[in-house]
Parts: sequence; C-alpha cells; structure tokens
Amino acid sequence: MAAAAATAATKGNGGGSGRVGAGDSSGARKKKGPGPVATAYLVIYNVVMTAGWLVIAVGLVRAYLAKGSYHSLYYSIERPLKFFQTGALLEILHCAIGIVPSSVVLTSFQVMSRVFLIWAVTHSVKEVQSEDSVLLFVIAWTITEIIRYSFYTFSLLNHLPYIIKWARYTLFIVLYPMGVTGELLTIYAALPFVRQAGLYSISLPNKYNFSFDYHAFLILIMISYIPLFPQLYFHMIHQRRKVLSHTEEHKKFE
Amino acid sequence: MEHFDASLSTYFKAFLGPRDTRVKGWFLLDNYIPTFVCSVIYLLIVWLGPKYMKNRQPFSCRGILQLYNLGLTLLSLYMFYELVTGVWEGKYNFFCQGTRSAGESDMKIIRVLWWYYFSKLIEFMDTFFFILRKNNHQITVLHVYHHATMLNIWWFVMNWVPCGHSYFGATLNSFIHVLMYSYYGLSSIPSMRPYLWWKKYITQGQLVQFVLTIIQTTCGVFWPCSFPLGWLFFQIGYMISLIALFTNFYIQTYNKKGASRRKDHLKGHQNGSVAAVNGHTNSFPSLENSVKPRKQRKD
Repeated sequence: MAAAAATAATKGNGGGSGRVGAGDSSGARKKKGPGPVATAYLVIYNVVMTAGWLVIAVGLVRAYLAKGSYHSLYYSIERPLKFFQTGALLEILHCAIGIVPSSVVLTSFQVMSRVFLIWAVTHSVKEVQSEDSVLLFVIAWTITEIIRYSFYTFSLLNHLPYIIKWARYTLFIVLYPMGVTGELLTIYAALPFVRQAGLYSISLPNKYNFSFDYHAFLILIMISYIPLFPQLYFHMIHQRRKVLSHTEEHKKFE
Repeated sequence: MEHFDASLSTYFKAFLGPRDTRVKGWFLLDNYIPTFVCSVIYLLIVWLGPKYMKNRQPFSCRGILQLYNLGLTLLSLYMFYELVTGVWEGKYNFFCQGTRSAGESDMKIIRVLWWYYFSKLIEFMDTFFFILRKNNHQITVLHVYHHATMLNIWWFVMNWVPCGHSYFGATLNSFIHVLMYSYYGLSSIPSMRPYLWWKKYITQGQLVQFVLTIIQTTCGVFWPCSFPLGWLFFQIGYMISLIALFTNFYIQTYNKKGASRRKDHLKGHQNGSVAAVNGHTNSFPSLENSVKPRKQRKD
C-alpha cells in the first residue's frame, strides 16, 4: 500500500504531462501520448476496474446490511477482490510496453505488494480472514481504487472533474494510513499460524542447500514499511500542495 | 422460408437452450428473420442514403421531428415508469435476479421490455433523419453500431431472458432517452432554449450508464443466481465494445475542438434551422467538456 503513493504520484504526473502533450497542436508532442487504440484500451481497462471496485463496494454494503455486523465481511467480497486486485497486474504490462508513462519498478512494487497480501497472506492463512484488520485494508483499498481508476478514465478523456482530482489528492491522507494499518495488523495476525504450520518455508538439509523462512520473511516485510511508508506518504502530501494549489490559482485567474 | 426458419430455430435452441415460452406468438419475436432483415435494410440505407442526398437540398423535417421527439420522450418515460414500478413490486434483487421468481411482476417487465426492443426499431428513424437533413457528421461508427446491434441483441434477450437481471440496462437507457429526446424536442422551440439546462449531462450520463451496467452485470457474475451466466458475460463484452467506440468518438471530437468551435459558431447564426439545433446539441456537450482541460493547460 505504501508503494501506492509513489506510483500514484508518478502516474499523476506522467498522465498530466501526457494529456497536455496530446492536447497541444504540436505534432511532436502529440506523438508522445498513447495512440487512439491504446487510449481506447486504457479507457476500457480503467472503466472496468472502476466498475469492479464499485462492485466490491456495493458487495460490502450489501453484506453489512444483510448481517447487521461488520465482522467477517471478507467472505462476501473475497472473489471479486481477488479478481480485480490480480487484474491490476496488467498495469505492470502497460508501463512495460510504454502506453502508460510510469516507472515499471514502482508499479510492480505497488501491485505485487498487494497481490502478495491477497494471495500469500490472506488467502493462504485462512485464520486471518475473519480479522477486522482485513476489513480495514479492503475498505481503504476499495475507496482508493475507485478514485484512482476513475481519475485515470477521466484524464484519458481529457475531462477531469475537480471533485475527482480533489478526492485523489486528499482522501489518501486518511486512506493510506488506514490501509497500511490494516495490512500490518493482518500480517502480524498471520505470524503465529505461519510459524506453527511452517507455511511456504524450506528447511535444511535439502538437495538445493537453500533455506527460506516465510515467518522471518513476513517480519522483514513489516519492518520495511518503517522506512518506505513515511517517505512515500509525505511525497504524496507534497504532490497534493502542488496540484491543488495550482488549481486554486487557476480559479482565481478565471 | 419456413424451412429455413425451422432450421434456424433448431440451431438457436442447440446453442442457447430453450426459449422463454411466455413470449411465444408476440409480434416480431417468433422468428429472427424480420429483425435481421430490418437491420440489413437499415445498414443499406446508412450506406446509400448519404450518396442519394449528396446533390440534393436537405429536408428540414421540422414538424415531423417535433412529433417524433415528443413521441419517443413519452415512450421512454412510460418504459422507465413501468420498469421502476415493476422492479419495485417484484422486489427485484440488484445483485442477481432470475427470470422465473417474481410472478406477475415478471410479466409486467416482459411486456415493457418488448416495447424497449420495439423502440430500437423505431429509433432507426434517428439515423434516417440525420441522412435527410444531411447531418452526416452525426452518423458515427458508434451511432450505427449501437443502433444496429441493439435491435438484434434485444431480439435474443426477449426470447431467452426477457426479464430478471436484464431489466437494469434498459431502465438506465430509458431514463437517458427521456433526457435526450425531451431535449431534442424542446430545443427546436427557440423560446425554450434558455431553460434546457440538462444537455451537458447527456454525454456524461451515457458514460455513467456504461459503468453502472457493468457493475450490475458483474454482481450477477460474482453473486450468481438462476440467471444464466453466459448472458452476463455477453453483456459485459458488449459494454466494453461500446466503451471502445465511445472513447474513440470522444477523442476525435476533442481533437477537432477548433473545427467544432467554428461550426458551432456558424450554427449559432441559424436559429431557425432544426438541423443546426440538433447538430449544435450533439456537438456542444463534447465541446463544453473539452473547454475545461484546455483552460487548465494554459495555466
């Protein structure tokens, strides 16, 4: 989740520049933007993902209303969550082939960290699925992704409503800490079960002379949040001042 | 011909399963051929019509257009009302609704959806009016594709899944059409123009419609019921094809913003012309949408 900030900021910048270039009458700059086929494909991708995360949102609301309690809502949205979060792997491909002007490394880090949490932690350690911390990151992700994908959709069509831009650069203030908290608590809750079951671990001796302790690996991941999250979070805050104050000046100019 | 119909029916049954017997004998629904023939004729007119009109003066069609727009506004309003009340009475489930569980409410939905299917045939007139008035720029790939495919798709929907989860897209579309046709109808009356505040929401409404339909259909996939899955996947695929064409249309309009502006300005001087008014109508939302980013870029 922490990586989302950097990738989000980078994409925002890249997308904006791309749009400006595309709109300009200069032929050279026009060529920098994605072609019409790539743009149509990207709009389809972003619309489908916006719709997909909205499905998760309405699924959560539906399950909550049906149960009258927020416990164990994960089971109600497990399938679409896995489908649409895994579908985000396509974004790495988009960066790699150059139709989205973002860093492949940053995008990979962001997407893989989430796919990892979904499949290697939540899916694999059944016991944590009923934890409230799972709900914490699911809700944070859902809101963030609805905003992010609709942001991209409107940007590609050169018609970005201010409220979407505002939401993109404001709600993260709450949603990123919320998501990170949920992620860390979920991994923490999984630790005893991972250790107990020796999940995904390889111990010596074996013919490869290699050992891997998944339990220790998870602890290492938790520790990595400490240097990474603040750096990316404050970068996003800096980005916010830049983007929104620019808009304010624009309004005054009008 | 009857033999051909029979073999076609056999093929459909093998591929799609048994038809819904509740619509047996209904006008245009028993055989596919009339619907298919109407679509072919439509495409031929789209191809040959502009050629025929090339060296002729455009028709104004003003009076008949007002009647047409009013008629379709009322039909869309009727369909929207019937669909909303039918869904409400039948306690339809937003997430997934089968075609056999709501009794008389299902019949109400089926009856109004027949009108929805039939309205797609009536709406071929949209294109014919464009041809007669020589508004050829409005006969886009998206426009022709959408009109031609909708009639055929709904023939199949009416024969296999004429109610249940199918209601949603039709309801949204009917609502958008109330806005669209009422705007077209009223905008031909000069004194009404200052009050037509909703024109800019029509294009946005169409995009929202795509998203909402995908959401409702996808819910049926992830939280299934007796509504057949294949139809849901088909619907999602169809919405995706519309988004692709919509995007291309939108971008082309945006890229021609300079030209659009000049045309718009010229049309502004022809207040009496219905053709200009409708042309103005269709081009304006996109132009208005494209103005904001342009200003933003200047800063």
